[in-house]
This record gives sequence, C-alpha cells and structure tokens, in this order.
Amino acid sequence: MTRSIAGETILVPVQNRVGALDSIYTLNDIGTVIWKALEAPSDIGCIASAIADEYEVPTEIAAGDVAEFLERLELTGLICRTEA
Amino acid sequence: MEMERYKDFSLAFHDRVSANRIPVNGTIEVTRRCPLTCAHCYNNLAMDDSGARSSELTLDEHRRILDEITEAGCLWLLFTGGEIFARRDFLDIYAHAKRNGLLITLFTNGTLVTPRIADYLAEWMPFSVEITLYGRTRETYERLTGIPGSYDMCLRGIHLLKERGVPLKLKTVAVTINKHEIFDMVRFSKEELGLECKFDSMINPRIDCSQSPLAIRLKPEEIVEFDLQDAERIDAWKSFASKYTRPVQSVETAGELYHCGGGVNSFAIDPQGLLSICVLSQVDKFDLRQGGFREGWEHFLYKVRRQKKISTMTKCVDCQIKAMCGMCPANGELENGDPESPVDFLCQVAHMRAQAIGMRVPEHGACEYCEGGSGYAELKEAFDAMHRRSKMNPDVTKRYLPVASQSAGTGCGGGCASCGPK
Ligand code: SF4
Repeated sequence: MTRSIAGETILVPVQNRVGALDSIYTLNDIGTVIWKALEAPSDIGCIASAIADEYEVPTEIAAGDVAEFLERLELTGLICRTEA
Repeated sequence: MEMERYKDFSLAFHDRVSANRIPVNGTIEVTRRCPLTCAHCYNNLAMDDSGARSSELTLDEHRRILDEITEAGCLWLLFTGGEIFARRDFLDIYAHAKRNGLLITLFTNGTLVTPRIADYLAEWMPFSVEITLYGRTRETYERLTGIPGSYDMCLRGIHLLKERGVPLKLKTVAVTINKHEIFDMVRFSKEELGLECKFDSMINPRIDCSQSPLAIRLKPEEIVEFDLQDAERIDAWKSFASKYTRPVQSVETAGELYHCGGGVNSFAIDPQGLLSICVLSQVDKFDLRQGGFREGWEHFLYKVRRQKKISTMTKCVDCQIKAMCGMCPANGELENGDPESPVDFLCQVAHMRAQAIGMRVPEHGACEYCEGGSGYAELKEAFDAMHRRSKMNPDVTKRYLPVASQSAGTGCGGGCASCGPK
C-alpha cells in the first residue's frame, strides 16, 4: 500500500514474505497517480489518458511514460500483468 | 519511482521531516503485564494484575488510535510492553497497524511466542522483531528473570521466528547478574544463530518510583570497560563527541528543556492510552480516551515540547559531552524527581567515557567530575584501575560488541524511541 507523508508517497509492503526490508520505493507525483489508478485492474490506455488530462501532455507521450513505469513495477514484483 | 536502500531512505526521510514536526516515530506500550519478573525492568507488572488488565485500552480503542496516528503521519511504530504477547488480542492490534501501512517493530522477550504467532508473523512480516536475551546459560537467564523454565521458552521463541525467516535481532542488557556472559551471548547470537545482537547497560529506576533496578546496575567503570573492549565502539564515540559542540549559554538563551526527538518526530502511548513525549517520561500526559491524537499531538505535546524551557543553570546546560551522556529530563525525573537535576551516575559514565576517548572536557559549571572537582580523584582512580585491567586482557581487541543504538552516542537506551534515527 502507499503512505503519503510530508508530501512523499512511500510504498509500504503489507502482506509479504520477504524478511528484512532492504530497500524501499518512493513515488513522484505522476507515479502516485499511476499507482492509485492500479488499485483496481486497469490498462495502459486508460491510465495514459488520465495522465494526459491531468498533466496536459499528448496521450502518446503519457502512454510511453506509463508503459515504462509499469514495466519497472512489474520487474520489481510490485504488480503483475493479467490478460484482458 | 525511486528505489532507495532502506537505511539511506530512513536517514534522509528523518532529516526531511525533522523541520516539519510530524509524528513519524511512535511507541505503543500495549500492556505492562509480563510473565517474567526481571529485576532490572522499569515497568513490568504481574500477569494476573487485574487492575492493570482492566485499565488497558480495548482492541477497539487501539484500532481508533492506530487510525489516528496513521492519519497524522506515523510511519515507524514500536509495540512494546511489559510483554506484548501477554495480551491475547495482540495479533488483532498488530494486524490493524499492519493494514494501516505502518513499519512495525516488536519488542518481546520471546517466551510466549507459539507456532501460531510465528506463522502469523511470517505471513504478515513486521519490520523487525527484537528479543532480549538475559543470559547465555539457563542459570544466569533465570536468575535475572526469576522464572524457572523461561530460558527454554525464550530459545523456543527465537527458533520459531528464525525458522520462518521473520526479521529478528537479539539484544541484551548488561547488569551485575549477567555481565560475565555478555560476550558469550553476542557470540552465540552471531555465530550459532546468525543473528545480530545489540547491547546496552543503562538501567533506569522503575516508573512507579522504585529504585530497585539500580541494585543490579553496573558501576560506571564497568560500563566504560565494555566501551574500551571494542575499538570500533571507541571510534564511534570519538567521532560523535567531535561533532557535538555548542556555544556556551545562559539560562535566558539556553532554550528548550527537551533536546531529543520526543514531541517533535516521536511520541509514546502507554497501556491506558496516555500520550507522552517518551515511555520514560511520567509527567505531561494527554488522555487519548478523552481527546483525539491530533489534539494531543498538535496542542498538548507541542506546548510541552516548545514551552518547557530550561529554568536552572545546571552543569548540564553547557556540557560539551552531553552527547555521550544519557542525561535527559525523563531520566532526571525518574532518578532525582527533577527534570533538570543532573543524574550523578550518568555524569560519571559520561566523564569516564570522555577519558576513555582521550577527550578533554571543557569547563561547564561546578562539575564534581571535571579536573579540580570534588569527585574527580575518585573517578580517575576507578578509571585508571579499570583501564589497567582491560589493557592486561589480551583478548579484548578481538571482541565484538555492538551497541544498542544504530548511531553511537544517542545515550540512555531506556526503551525510549526518541533519541535517534531508526
Ligand atoms: S555529563 Fe554530567 S554535566 Fe554533562 S550532561 Fe551528563 S550529567 Fe550533565
């Protein structure tokens, strides 16, 4: 889950079997919006258009950023991809 | 998304929030009841103390308070006791804190840990569990705890958690009863169990004013002898002492009474829901049964922290070795009944520590333990005798003796989470 403290968004493991906490993830503003969007199953297109609206950037650029961010989350095991 | 090493994150985050007065570090004493009767303990009560039990916060009250501290920005939460597992519903309290996204440390003596508890903690991992080991041998352990069978129960608890990969550390407290087994405990923990083992030797009077724990407190020279037996420890004190210098002050400019993180970034809540600066402080408490955490933090503790000023020009005000000393208002209250009156024992330890690292103590009022003071000759004699003894011991430099706090020199080690970064 995320905790927002002093303007920072911190990813805190809740149910985990990882033992000692060696590293911790913090999210910037856009990362926080994306993470919130992932609370319910979602896809890159929906998230990208939400980002594009909020930050007034072209949808294709937002889609690229979202895809890159999701890839990093997936690589670190924080999310998993499902088939639509 | 940034990934940071936990330690770097923690230090930087504490740095960033320290200017903002956010209660990021909390301590909740869920009970003072405990199955052990350790002679050095500052707050334990009997398991069957019905008055203590009936006055404890209920599970629902805990849930409400946990929601409130989470909302206020608490990130690191320590659950301590008494013995936390003396409460049958402790895992329910813990689960709520966990779901709120708190990074939870558990202090326990390990004796009540069952396979069910260990399984639960393995599924819902805490940030850390710290078990106190009171002796390497059954005889010593049980002499201190006063309970036959407790040594085996503690070791069982350690193994149950370790087998399941729960993040576990051991620690010990050195008193007259177990001082000869400290190194054996550290060795056992590191070499046989593969666990870090921390160490502390500062003992406080009980919070009910009894001075009974002091009967088994080590002498100042014995405490400093442990310092001298570890080169790294001495280096850490040296670097810490060199960083801590302040201009000489007067009562008017001396400022706030408290100089720790209590009331700035940390707080403590006792079993009855009384909010205070730290677990040792028994004055200035806000009843969380009568008001919310936000009110207690933003108004009550704010006033305690910011409006309580130094009123007396004691030798502590300008002391340049304060960083090596456990003296704080809570210790002053507990040992002398006065937050500002210097605790003689702590003063002796600090001055010996300064001698151990070869530091000249700058003048700071009428101090008995500085050169020319009434207690100096005796202190020096005790120090020299100890130093000779420790030099004659060929084994000492090979010994490994970690300290209780991650940053050396945070002082008292009295169970208070207010002194230093986690
Ligand atoms: S060393 Fe003595 S004078 Fe200095 S802070 Fe400690 S008690 Fe006070």
